[in-house]
Amino acid sequence: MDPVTTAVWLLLIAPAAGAVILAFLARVGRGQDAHPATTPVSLVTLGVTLAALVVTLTAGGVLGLPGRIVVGLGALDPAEPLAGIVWSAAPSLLALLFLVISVRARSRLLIGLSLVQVAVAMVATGVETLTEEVHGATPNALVLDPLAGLLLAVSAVVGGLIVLFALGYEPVHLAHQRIAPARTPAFLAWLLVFLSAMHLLVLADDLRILAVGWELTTLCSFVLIGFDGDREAVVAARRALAYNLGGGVALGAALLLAGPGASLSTVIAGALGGTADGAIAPALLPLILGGFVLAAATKSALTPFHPWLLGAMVAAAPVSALLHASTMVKAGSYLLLRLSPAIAVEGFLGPAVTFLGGFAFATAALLALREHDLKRVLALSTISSLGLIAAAAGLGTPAALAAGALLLAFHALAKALAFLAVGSLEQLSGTRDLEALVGAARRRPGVAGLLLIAAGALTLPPFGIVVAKWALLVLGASDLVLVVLLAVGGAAGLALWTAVAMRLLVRRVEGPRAELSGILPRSQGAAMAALGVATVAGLILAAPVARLVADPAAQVAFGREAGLASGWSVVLAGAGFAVPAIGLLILVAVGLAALVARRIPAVAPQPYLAGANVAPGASTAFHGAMGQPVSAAGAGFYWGADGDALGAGGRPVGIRRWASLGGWLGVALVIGAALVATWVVRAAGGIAP
Amino acid sequence: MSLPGLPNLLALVALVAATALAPLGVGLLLGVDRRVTAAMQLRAGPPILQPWYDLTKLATKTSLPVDRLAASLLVAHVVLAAGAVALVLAGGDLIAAVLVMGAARVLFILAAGAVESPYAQLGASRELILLLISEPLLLLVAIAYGGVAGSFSAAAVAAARAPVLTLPTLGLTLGVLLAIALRKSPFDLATSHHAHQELVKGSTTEMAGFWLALAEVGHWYETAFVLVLIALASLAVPLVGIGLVAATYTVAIVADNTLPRATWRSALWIGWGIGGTAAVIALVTGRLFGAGGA
Repeated sequence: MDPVTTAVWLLLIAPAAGAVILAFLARVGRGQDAHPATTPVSLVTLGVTLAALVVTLTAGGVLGLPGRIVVGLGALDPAEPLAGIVWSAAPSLLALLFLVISVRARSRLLIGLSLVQVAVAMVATGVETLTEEVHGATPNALVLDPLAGLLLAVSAVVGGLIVLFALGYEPVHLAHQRIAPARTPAFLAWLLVFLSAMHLLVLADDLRILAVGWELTTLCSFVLIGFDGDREAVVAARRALAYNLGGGVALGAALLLAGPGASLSTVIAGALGGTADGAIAPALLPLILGGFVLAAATKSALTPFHPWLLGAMVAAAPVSALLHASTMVKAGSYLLLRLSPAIAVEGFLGPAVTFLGGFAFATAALLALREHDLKRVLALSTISSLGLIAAAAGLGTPAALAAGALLLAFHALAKALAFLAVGSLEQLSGTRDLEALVGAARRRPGVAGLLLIAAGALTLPPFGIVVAKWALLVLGASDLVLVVLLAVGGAAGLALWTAVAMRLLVRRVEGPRAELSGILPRSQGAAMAALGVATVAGLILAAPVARLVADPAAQVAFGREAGLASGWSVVLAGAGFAVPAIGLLILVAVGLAALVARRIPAVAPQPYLAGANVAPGASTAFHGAMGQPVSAAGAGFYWGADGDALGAGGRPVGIRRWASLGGWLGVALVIGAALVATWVVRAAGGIAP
Repeated sequence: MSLPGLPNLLALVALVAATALAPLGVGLLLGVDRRVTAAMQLRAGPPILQPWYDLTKLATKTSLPVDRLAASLLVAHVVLAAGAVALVLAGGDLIAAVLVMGAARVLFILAAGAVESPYAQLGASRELILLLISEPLLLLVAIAYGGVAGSFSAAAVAAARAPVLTLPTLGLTLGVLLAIALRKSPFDLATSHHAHQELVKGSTTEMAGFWLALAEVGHWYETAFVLVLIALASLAVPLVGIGLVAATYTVAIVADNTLPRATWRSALWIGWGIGGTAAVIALVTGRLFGAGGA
């Protein structure tokens, strides 16, 4: 086998093999502590995976080139008769597994949803096994191209660092949850299974393989959310499963319509009118794409499908960071970006996807303004960013796709870092309430500072994320609705992270504050430091990453240049982001600030309290009306949090109701656009599918 | 690499000079503003150069920073604010300039909120609301200009024939933005020249001397940014541009004197409601009558 095929195989097999060994260790482990072989097995697995990634990207020729390599699966290729039957049957088997889980959960909703999924999957399996291969003549099970390469890099590098973090974090977390730390290897095994599933998903071209990867990530998410086993975790896991089963039904329907042996490339080629052999009936294509879009929207938790992601935040920090911020939810974004050229040509479908994404971008950021549970803030901010990527996919131009790919990569880094920092703060202090963590950056600059770095990367120029946002504003300027949504959502995101940073930076001298002493495990610190360095590198690396991966990805998809990398290197005058000039400006600002900070004399502060200070010095106590001391410690601003006009409480009132309504409007637009496009094709062609 | 030619060097010197002078011009304008306001309230008012006198007096006072972090954030704030103005004056990308100005304002808010003092905390929260109101409006203004000019570069917008004619309602949005930049009304909000309440200057409560002067310069740069945006609407005919600035400013002063009791909530709804609607109407009319999309 050539090195690329071997490396791709290793990317798929190594994490799964590591997971099997870890599962075995969890079984044979004695006593309270995790099996001593846990750490070496995990590290070797991560090392092999990383090496395989490096070989895949360098030898595969997908860096900087619009390359597209078909990787065979050998005897396991779906084009082989026996393997074909296995791959066809696999989604049905997974659906049956979900049915068993649903029956054990005794939830009517879950049982209903999984029954529908079983039915759809069974019919698809039946059709696939009974009909002869129509267009499976050329084996194209797995395809490696720049977009897949980018997702592989995100999954293996960010995922690897998160597993490293979990090595230190999980035993402590389990002990805190009154579960034996001996369960740690089982937890790590599920994380590694997830990595394999994700690699399968992003490499898959054959739809059956895609479906298997897709449902496996759903399974991992369900297990990991419920891993702690308490009531809250189980409820959240079931809710996540319900939403993802709904998405699975949409995906299954799309697969069924696409017919046996179809692949992503045949769907895209069919939509672009490239193939003459009429692989897929043109009238069905909009419906197939609509099914994919709905499946992707549930996976990415775009409004109105966002509640499952908020619930998923009960899980441990590595789970939130890996599955629900940087990787699994990106499967939806990935699918939308992959199908972007096809979505763009199906009449109204592109604008509908853009609305769905843009709306999620704006409302999730506004909803986040009222939260002071840091994990909920991060979850809503994630939904917001995923919406932005979906909007990029809906725009359907090469530059928009490149910007979306760039957003995906840098967001994965920054958000993983933010989740791990919040998890560490929670481990140190026992809380993730922003109001209890006031001033954390003054007392634990190492940990809270990483959260501040992530916040800056999400909102400040010239970090890659802001550059991509800028690109989308420029590219989407002709779509008025999108422009308004982007402007509002961008401002809300900026205000959100400013509010969070402000609370972390306050110098609090008295008043309630969480205990933040304690030592973090070394692997935990190392993983966060690596992510922090990578996030800061996003300041400099936006243009190189665009040149290496994002632009080639767009060229593979559209067959023409995106030119995003050159678009923002224009210096100062004229249109363009002027990254060098703005970068220099930031450097000057930071340098001067640092210089000044060293020369400022330390002056004992005395807050202004209208002259009623109880004592000289930094105390915020003042003489009250009766002469008694009153503390004047402040609190943060949470827009709409208590009884504001925008709604409060647990019921969906005010802005939450609008978020839900607007989200469903987006879904209705997607379905409507698919139906209209189908009708147009049938009316024009006059041929029944 | 070749050395920059003489014209480039001259342009650079001119850019630096213009950026350095911009806040001084704003200071003068604020002096006139105080005289006009005083006349409207049948008072004499301070000398026109009063803002400059205040600034120099602040700058020469004993430096007493309350917090190291807050002081260094203020330095970075002024650098970024000046950079955003310079980016527009150099003819650079308007959207990028708005994003840089947003970053500058974030640094000011963080500086204001860095100290645990009730007035400063409240003031910083109010500044945050102002950021939330004005940031989308600034972006919409930049996009509306770009739609008319066919490019988002300030140079292209300045060269475009008549953005002011194709974007009639944008003046309202710019008026709202100017009112926010001047921090005049509503009374409830962060900072103003009305010396009635401690709350009113909340965000700068814990700044003094040189550091307060820096905050003031940053504020002047922010105002200069909005004034330059207004002038861009008709830079091809400079007289009209100056007239526009004067007219918008007068509207802002009148609004300030008629809306003293508005709260931050009403500011939000007025800002997004009136300013946002006007910007969207401008975007639509710009699309209909403009020279084509960007």
